[in-house]
Amino acid sequence: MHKKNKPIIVLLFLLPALVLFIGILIWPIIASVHHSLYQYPTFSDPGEFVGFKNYIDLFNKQYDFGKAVINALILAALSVFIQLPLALGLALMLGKGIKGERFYLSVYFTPVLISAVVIGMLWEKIYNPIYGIVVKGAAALNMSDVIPPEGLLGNPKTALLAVFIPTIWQYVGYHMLLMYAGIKGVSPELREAAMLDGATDGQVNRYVIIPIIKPIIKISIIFAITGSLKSYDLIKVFAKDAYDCSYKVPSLLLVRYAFHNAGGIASAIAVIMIIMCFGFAILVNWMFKERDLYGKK
Amino acid sequence: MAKSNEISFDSEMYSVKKTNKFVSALIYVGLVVWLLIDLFPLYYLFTFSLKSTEEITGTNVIGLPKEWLWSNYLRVFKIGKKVGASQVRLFFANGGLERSFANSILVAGLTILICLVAALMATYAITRIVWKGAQTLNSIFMLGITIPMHVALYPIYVSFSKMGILKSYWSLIIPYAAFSLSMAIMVCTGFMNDIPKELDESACIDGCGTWGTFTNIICPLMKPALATMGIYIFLQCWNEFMFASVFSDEAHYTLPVFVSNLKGSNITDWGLVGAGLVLATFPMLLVYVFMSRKIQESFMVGAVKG
Repeated sequence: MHKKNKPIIVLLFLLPALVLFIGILIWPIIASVHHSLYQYPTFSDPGEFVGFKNYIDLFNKQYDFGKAVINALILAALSVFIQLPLALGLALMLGKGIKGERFYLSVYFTPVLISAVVIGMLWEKIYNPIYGIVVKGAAALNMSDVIPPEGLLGNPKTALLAVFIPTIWQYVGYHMLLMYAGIKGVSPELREAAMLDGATDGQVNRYVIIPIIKPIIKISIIFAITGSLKSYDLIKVFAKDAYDCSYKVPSLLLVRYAFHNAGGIASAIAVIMIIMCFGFAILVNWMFKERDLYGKK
Repeated sequence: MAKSNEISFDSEMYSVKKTNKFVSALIYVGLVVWLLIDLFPLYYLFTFSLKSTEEITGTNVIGLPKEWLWSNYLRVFKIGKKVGASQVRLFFANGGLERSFANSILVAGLTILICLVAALMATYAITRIVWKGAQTLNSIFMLGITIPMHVALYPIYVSFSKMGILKSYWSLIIPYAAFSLSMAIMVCTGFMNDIPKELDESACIDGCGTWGTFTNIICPLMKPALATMGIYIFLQCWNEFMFASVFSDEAHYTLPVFVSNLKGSNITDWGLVGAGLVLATFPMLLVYVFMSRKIQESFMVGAVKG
């Protein structure tokens, strides 16, 4: 390779990726920040410069963005503290090596492949307040009064839980697969050595396996949190009206305002979503950093 | 994973604490319970797709259908089509199931092609050509994994409508390819680092240029990475809903959008909706039965290599 040509060759090889990356990822972020400072009543008309007014207005009663953020954070917390431990438990049970391991693994992973739209429509039927299997099941067990008459999804108190259940159902298999791959990567000598020293299965898991697969647990946590923050498909299928629903989330409002003559508001939501996703990714990374000798991170 | 078989040890010889019988029974119960939880909704979906409304709403909620109503499936194919057109026109008519199926495959196929070519070339420039800033650029690409696709929706909508490519296949393919790019570069980097650099050098000595080395030496060796990434990107495109629902019209609906449209029109006709959901889902599950290992691998590689 001639030295003179090198910058040109490098640039040519990078060109397709750079065009895609800058045009579709970087530029929209910059554009969002810019749009969020204007009114944008229509797509072609930026309207008045309003500064940070959009960000302040977001939390007004009119837009009610605070509720959406709280809902997303609740979903994220449920994912981290219910979904991931469940996934870890399944992965540990399978990773020990049992009969039919592959079969269980493959079945657990199946829901991951199904479109969230299909899952939403299926669970909507399951939750149906008159014909759904939840209501029928409760009736058969003489527990009809547990289920609110408007259905789990219709009642504001239970709605978020009703959104969360299909999410666990779908994604436990995904996180389980990641953790299972990590557990299978742990050298079997370590497990044997611990067992020769008299460790029980529980102790092996606690003191050998889990510390080794920490990096994968970290990635699972990041995926679970960012996934919850940007959840859309399932909720969009459940929601009749994006604004007037008790389980609204940021991306649902983003789409609604983007196409209801409030581009500035939608862009402000986009900017806040990016900051939240990056913020949580950095926070989780920091929490998982090994402490040094002085106990500092 | 083969390793675990190579080294076996006889537990009788050492004082290893055996797993409690009660505990291992409990483990199996746990595994089977989750198995049933996973499969039951799918069973429920499949059976109600074959039932009449009377059965679904009262007489037979969770049992097998008394009468297997395959006609529910035939009715799905009639949705979204202009009645009276010839068979050939039907396929290309707006919005039918086959049409959205074909759209989904076309969009996913082109996305895979574009994304993998761009990722391979970029990875080559980053890992094989020595230049200042290669690592910095790589870490900038990696930031893309955390950027949520949703935030690009509004700006891209505005610029695509100015460019006049809204409601075309490209309005989906370009964002899909861009948002899969970071993951593809990450996975390709992992695989390309495993290819010995001596191969490039000997190709260079034999008179192969940079482009020749890339196409003749590196690309063929990257096939496993491309297969893995291709599957991953395919599934991402196949199931994507937000962009597909906003950026496409009837002629360009992908499968998830077609499915979501079943919701509005037929709230009481569960059999029809069920049949639509089954038709949209089960082909993918059938592929999964035959390729489960490959598909699982494609989901693992991103997280484990990162």
